[in-house]
Amino acid sequence: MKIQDLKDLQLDGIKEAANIGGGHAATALSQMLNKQVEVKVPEIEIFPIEKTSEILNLKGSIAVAALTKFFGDATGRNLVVLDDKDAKLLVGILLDKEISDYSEIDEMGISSIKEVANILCSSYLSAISEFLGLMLLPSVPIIVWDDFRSIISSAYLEFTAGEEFVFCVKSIFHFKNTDSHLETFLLLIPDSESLSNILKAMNLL
Amino acid sequence: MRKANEITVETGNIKVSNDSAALITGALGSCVAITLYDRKQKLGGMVHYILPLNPGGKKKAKYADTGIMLLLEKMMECNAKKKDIEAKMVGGAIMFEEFMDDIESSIGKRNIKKGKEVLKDLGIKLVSQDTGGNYGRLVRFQLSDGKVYINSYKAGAKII
Repeated sequence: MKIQDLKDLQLDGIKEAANIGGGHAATALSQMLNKQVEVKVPEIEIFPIEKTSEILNLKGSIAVAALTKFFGDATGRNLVVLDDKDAKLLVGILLDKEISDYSEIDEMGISSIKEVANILCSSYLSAISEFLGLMLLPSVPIIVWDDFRSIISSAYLEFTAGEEFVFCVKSIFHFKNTDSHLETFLLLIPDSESLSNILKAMNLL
Repeated sequence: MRKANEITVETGNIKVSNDSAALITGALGSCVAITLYDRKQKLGGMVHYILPLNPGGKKKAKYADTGIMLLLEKMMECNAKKKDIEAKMVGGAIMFEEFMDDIESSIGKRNIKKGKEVLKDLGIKLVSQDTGGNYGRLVRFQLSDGKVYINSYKAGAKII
């Protein structure tokens, strides 16, 4: 069985899990940013890797990606992707200043992005692991701020044995009483041996 | 100077053209772009491959071994002379350096190594390169003079 063979029922299940994870993430983000944050029902996308640009439809070509490893009953990696503009907005809120250029982002800025990525990863991962009955634990993320197509294609080439489909959870976090929102993409990149474990767990649903 | 006609080389593809054009490719992380240029005829081609070895698949341009060979064949079909052809190489970055246990086995490093081997076997001279690092690149190969313009978010612009 492959990722692209998942049925609607299974996808709905994952969507529900992602929804719970998104809710947890929104609560944690509200506390961290000291702003009311709401999350919309996430969308699940499964698409061939060469369609990445089209499906993710980021505003610019530059994005921030936080890569974490996950361990436990399955192993692999998570990639949280944020558009460049959204990332600057986020750092701006956290550090309470306006950021217009990447060069203005210092260690503190990178560290705050890591923290947010950590919240997103852990929230989604814990919801998904509860849903699948698998124990999954994330590591501390590393941050790559670059052309997003390079980031994503390299992540898949480096860490999968030729996996050609991307599994992505897209969520929108909205800051209440403002026009600002954050669009986040969580890409799940399981190791090839673990993928069958995950799919098996999904198949039992 | 009139603006050159721009042709995009998609990931895992090959394009060959003459002096009125520029070949462009992006999303070059661990992937490698190799340009071949026949200076006398102002004829050039580019392959954007993603992995070093073809396991026997049909998409030849996706892999260093079959991709570079195919690019050379296409150049020759357009009457390029092998002795006049020079190569340039861009890409092969390690985007997630901190996560790699073994840098040498990274896709980027292996792509660079294989590309150089194939060029050597084919007897094509590699005249310049911009490879490695931990950042993505955009490439513009100008066929009027064979110059390769490289742009990256982190390392800025460069011409080879």
